[in-house]
Amino acid sequence: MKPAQFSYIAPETVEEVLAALAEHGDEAKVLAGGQSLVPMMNFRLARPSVIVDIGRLAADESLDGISVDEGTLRIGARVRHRQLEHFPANGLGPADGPLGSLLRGLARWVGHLPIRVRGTFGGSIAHADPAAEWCIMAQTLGAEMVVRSSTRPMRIVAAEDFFETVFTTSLEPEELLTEVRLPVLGPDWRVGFCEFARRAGDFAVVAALTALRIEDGSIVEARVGAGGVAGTPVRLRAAEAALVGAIPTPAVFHEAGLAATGEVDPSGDIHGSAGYRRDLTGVMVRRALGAESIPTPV
Amino acid sequence: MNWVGRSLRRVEDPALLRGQGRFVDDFPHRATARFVRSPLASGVIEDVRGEAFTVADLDADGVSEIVCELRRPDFVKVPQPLLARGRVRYVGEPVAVVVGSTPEEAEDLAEQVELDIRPTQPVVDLDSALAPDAPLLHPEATGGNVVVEGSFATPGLAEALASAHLVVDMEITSRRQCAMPLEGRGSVASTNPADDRTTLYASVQSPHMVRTGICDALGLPEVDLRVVAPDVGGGFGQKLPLAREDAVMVWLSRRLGTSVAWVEDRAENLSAAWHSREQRYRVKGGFDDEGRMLALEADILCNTGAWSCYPITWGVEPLMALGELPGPYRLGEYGVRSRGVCTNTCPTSPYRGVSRPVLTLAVERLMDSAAGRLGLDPAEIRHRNLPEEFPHRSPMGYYLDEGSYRQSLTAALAEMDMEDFRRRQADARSKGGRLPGLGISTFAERTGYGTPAFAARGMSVTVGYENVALAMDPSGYLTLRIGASPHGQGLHTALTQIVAEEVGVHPQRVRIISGDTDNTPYGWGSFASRSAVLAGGAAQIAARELARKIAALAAEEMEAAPEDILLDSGMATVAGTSQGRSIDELARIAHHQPQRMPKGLGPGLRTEAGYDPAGTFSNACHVAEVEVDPHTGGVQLKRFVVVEDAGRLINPMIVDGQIRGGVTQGIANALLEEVIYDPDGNILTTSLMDFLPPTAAEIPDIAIIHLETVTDSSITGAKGLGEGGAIGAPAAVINAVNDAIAHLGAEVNEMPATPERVRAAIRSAAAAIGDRADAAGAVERSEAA
Amino acid sequence: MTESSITGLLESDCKTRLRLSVNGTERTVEVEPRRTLADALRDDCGLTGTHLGCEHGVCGACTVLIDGNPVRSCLMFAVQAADVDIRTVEGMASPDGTLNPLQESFMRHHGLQCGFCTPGFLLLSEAVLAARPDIDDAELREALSSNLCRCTGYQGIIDAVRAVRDAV
Repeated sequence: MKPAQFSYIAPETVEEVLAALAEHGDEAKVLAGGQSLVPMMNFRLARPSVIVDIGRLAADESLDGISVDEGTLRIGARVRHRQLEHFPANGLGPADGPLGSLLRGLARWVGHLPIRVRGTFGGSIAHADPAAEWCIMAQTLGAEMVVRSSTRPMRIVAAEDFFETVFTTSLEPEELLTEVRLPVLGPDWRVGFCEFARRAGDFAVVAALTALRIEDGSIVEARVGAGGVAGTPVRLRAAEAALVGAIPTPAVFHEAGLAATGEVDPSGDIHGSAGYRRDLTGVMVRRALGAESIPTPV
Repeated sequence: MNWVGRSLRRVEDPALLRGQGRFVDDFPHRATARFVRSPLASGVIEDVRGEAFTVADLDADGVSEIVCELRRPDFVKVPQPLLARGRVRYVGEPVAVVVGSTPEEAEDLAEQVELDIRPTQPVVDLDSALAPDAPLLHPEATGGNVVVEGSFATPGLAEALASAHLVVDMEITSRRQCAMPLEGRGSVASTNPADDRTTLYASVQSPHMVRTGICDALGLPEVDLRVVAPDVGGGFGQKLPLAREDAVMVWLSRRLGTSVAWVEDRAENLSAAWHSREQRYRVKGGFDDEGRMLALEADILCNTGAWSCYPITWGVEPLMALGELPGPYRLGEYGVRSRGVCTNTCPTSPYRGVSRPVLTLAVERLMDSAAGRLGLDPAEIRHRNLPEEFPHRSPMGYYLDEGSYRQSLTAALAEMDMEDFRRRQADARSKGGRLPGLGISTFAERTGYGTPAFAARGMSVTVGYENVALAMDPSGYLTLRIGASPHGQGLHTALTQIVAEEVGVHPQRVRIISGDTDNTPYGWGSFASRSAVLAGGAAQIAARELARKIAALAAEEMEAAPEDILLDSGMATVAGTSQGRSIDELARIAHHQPQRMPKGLGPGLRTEAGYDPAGTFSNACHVAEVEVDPHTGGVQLKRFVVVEDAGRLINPMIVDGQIRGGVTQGIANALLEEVIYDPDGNILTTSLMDFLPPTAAEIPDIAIIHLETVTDSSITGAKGLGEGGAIGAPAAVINAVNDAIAHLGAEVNEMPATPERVRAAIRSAAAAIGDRADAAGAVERSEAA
Repeated sequence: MTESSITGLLESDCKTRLRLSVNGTERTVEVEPRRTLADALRDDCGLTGTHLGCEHGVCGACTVLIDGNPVRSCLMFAVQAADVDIRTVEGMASPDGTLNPLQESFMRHHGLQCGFCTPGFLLLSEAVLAARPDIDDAELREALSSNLCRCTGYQGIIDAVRAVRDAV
């Protein structure tokens, strides 16, 4: 189980990375943490002829930083999962709040410790596993992906336009994902997450992420998303509709779960049939909505 | 000084801890081989294009097939070529082999070989293989795809079932398993041009048997092949049978005149090493109104995969199921038919416990089901059926030596605190949420059996005995050479304890040599919970004889009677006196002053011994406590208790490690691991993200209580227990899951009891009740609250 | 060429000379870009204590420390490791062979049987305890769930690491 041959380049500047991608086109793959790409290469399911390693780039605020900018949180693509797991409470200052807890909480659900040590936030997003925690978060919260290339101006792609299907995004071969932008969630937001996996650290069979904005005791804005139920993570609009305007009670969460089950159309595989995944969607959504905090795995 | 019975640290550990273990892939080699494997489950090989060796090259060298059989009329004997000839019969079957200078290059070369295979209709599961018009896997199997069929019945079976107060009729299914040692299979072969001898370093459990199998196929005298099992990264049965690939390595090395390695990768291991335990049992138990099982009838099917395994054969699973299904229970009438059915899937081999994890599940589910219907406690029904008098004769005529069947059950339940559990369970059910469940499994583990048991199977290669050779060198240190071949069990440590105790020296003075056909007596290896009993027994016999010789020499030297000599702490002393000689000094005399040896004893201090017992039965009770999430079907193990009686413990620490490892594999079988094929015979579980061995997060701490019933069925008093953990755990876990969901009317009789299967059982029970909101819904509402 | 040279495009079929710092010793290897760090350690450095159990990042037998962090060496290419500090199981015991406290504890608590997963678990445990000397039992179990063991049922491993934690 050894990778096929490839040529390797490890540029020192982003411009060189972009130039290499432009030169090699879809023959090339960007190597960041390698925790998704390298297994596929070892199985020879992925066989890029050129690897562009961004691991040697000099530290770069855009790629490596986490910052807040007018209601937007920017996470550099090269930030490792482990950094988010240990992102200090209130690390974003007043903007930390529910989004900070969500990031710290979700990070622990990403694979295992050695995977989180190497794997990167942007790598996970660009890999686009439909059950990956960061992908679910990006889709649910409406993240924006900052994409650069040497041939076109920088573009910003909304999550719903970014994720196309399993392991497939709208990134062009010459493009590099450099940063992900998320809306800061004020203190009136309440976030929840629930994941069902067969073993600790496995990809979710189904996972759900919820965010509710509550004003005067009622839900005024709802974001509900799930992974493991389609080729991409999905927003669950019917579940959201069942929540908006309601008072957050277990009964309402139950209704939202039923709506979620009703609106997904998963396909089955060996880890769960279509029907089972559909059932689980409702359970996961209901539990995420009812969660007091982001649960810990194990 | 007593050394037996102490938890001495393992002599195996320091090298392994420093990274100085020597596994197959660590041996130097010039070339790397890679097998080109069939991508199709069934097909006719039209052409193989590219730089590769095929069966034609083997044929040209006069290489023959691997042959083994059970001498019984229903057994279908099919010689197996080392590489596929004419047809492919499972995805992963080796068709050709290439050789490169590095593993990467070998894989490149293998990719370049083009296989032109015309697909034919595969048979993948039991039902399609048994269909009247099913394609035949092997033309030799003229009776369809059934390759072995055993049956047995006591005369009063039908009458007993007809007159039973209660007949419980159930179907028990085990999905396909894979032993999956963490180190895959592999071997390094090198041939010395000076003497034309080949050395094969191979990750195997049975180097002598592997040598015999390879030499028979290659037409080599056994003296020209040395097989060495170095450090072996787990086996669990998967490294017991002869691997075709290992035989090809020997042939390649001789053909190419170089050293060549084959190191199986994980995808190969999961798809083309041996699978196990794809079984289905239809069982009917007839009970009287007090819960006594009067009669048991069973129809058993085992999917053997595409080929028989050498030397155990594809009869091993169905015939063990037939023989041992009744377990320890007292039972008047028994009738069974058990068939092995070949299919276009990976061949099967023994995996820790062989059929016993499934047959134990079948009988233990029957017990719980009958208890439920009769309003009996699951412990009580077992008490009423377990034997009190020994030896207990099973319906098939096995004699179970004395054990602690009832005592182990009582001890396990006391440890669990049943009253407290039932209170918690009732409480949880009323509150909603996760559902606690508790499951019991009592069983007998037939262990340490020698030639008679294997001969009864009619094996053309009858395994069984073990031999050892023990020698004390002039410095007073001992070397024990054994035919058994441990691979992680800690057998070396245990044997040093046995020898040290008999000879009266410190265990650090004893070295064990195993796993090398040049340096050990012929023996069968480590499998079937046998090494501690057989190699341990032989070691004790040899050490006692050596001690007798030392004592005789000491007696001569000190002018005392041999029977008055005590050997202890490195000294030979005359009982009741202060007279003594160091054993070192006596060793020196035996070698360098042999004229001083008593007549007929010298020179030197050497003994050889064999041990070949009929066998013994360990027993145990496992109790599992689980929590079932009724919404996801997920099952969490909360507690696990084992009360084990394996006779005399040689090294309790090692014993506990064997139990915990076995239980962990049993839990994995019960809940997680499953080899899955699609209907076309494509294997879907070729990575560890799809085939799911458990992590530390899925396995609870396992509490162990020992009972020690020592019988004379084993001369050391030690009974085997390597498989027991794996045998008992699935039934305990599945019974616990059923206990958790029984009040919903749900039942799961299939393993692994995946979340989806548990959830489906709850759903269909709710649907059967007619109120979908009831079973699952009630808990959902309560959870929401 | 004495320095590692990984600037510019390294051609797929050419070997690059790299300097790897393993257990404090500089080693020079020549590898194709596709050679994994695990294979480079085993085949090019002769450090066979690092084992390969799955080569897709699940089993953790190949875990080594990179700048103190536990990393699957099957998921890293050797060319990525040219200027990092690599520690393998061979670097754990003292040069005179004395076992370090974790190794000693694995022996005392029967944290190994066949020993194939052991190097990976030792290095994982070392990193976990270095980062979190006071890690609680639940988090320790979660952290150790990173690697697979097929023999022990994990209890001996967990007990061994716990004992070292508690001894500090």
